[in-house]
Amino acid sequence: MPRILAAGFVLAAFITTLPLAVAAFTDRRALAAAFVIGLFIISSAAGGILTGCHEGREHQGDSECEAITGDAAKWLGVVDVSRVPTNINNMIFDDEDGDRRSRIVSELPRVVPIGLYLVMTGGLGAALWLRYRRLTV
Amino acid sequence: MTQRTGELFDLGYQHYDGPREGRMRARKAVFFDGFRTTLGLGRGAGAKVLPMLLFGAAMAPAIIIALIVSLTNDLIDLPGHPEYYQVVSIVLLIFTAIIAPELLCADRRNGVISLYLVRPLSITDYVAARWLAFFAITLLLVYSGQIVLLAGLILSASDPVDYIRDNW
Repeated sequence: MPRILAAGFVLAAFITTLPLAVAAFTDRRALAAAFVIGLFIISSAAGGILTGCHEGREHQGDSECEAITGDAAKWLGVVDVSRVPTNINNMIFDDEDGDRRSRIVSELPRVVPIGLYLVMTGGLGAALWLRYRRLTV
Repeated sequence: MTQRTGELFDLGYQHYDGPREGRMRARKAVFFDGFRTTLGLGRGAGAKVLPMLLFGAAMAPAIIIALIVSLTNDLIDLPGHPEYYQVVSIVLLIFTAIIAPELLCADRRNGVISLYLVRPLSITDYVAARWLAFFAITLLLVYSGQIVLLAGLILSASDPVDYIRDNW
């Protein structure tokens, strides 16, 4: 139960801060929404490509295939913005049997996904606050 | 030469004599306004469609998983609590991207933020209250889904007490 509560808190903090921080920089709602959804789609696609298998080696099995970017795949796997809270949740639940991309990122030192989460949530929260501090009304 | 005549109307304006509740009251007001804005409360039916879809999107995976578990009575290969968060994070991110700008953009575009700030309310209070309002709703959504899922998994387990003990 504490893990469920902690993981929910982590997820909610991230998905609250990101769109609000983006919305602080534009008066157009559609633009803010399109930016967040675009960021999510592009980073997800980029993460998928950068951690994808070499062509013709998929037959070796999902977990066995060699990533197109080699050893760098575990670092490049974190570019997927939508997976930032998921990587933390995998740690909270101690879930190492997730999908291939989760396993690739789990090879990194734990401080990397945690740091990225803190930078994205705390950093974007700070950006939101600073944006309003400089706002002239 | 005709002389213009003016007329005074007593519209009943009076000084405010009630209690002056200060900064915390202003913070609470912005928080609850943010809560209401996010859920589309006090507005037309159109404003409520997206929050309802958001609620449905957060609940659907939990209900589907709970139903499958209760029908198949097989807990081994079905997604559980971590997988629920993984699925729902994608859905919630898209929906919150659409709903969140409503909280901030409209106040700036319509100049309402200037009115907020003539009250004993700092810009930090405003931002914190808006963030907390949206965070509270998001937290409520993700926990509601987990409660539904947990209830489904407990009721489907062969020994509910054991399931609660193992997953506590």
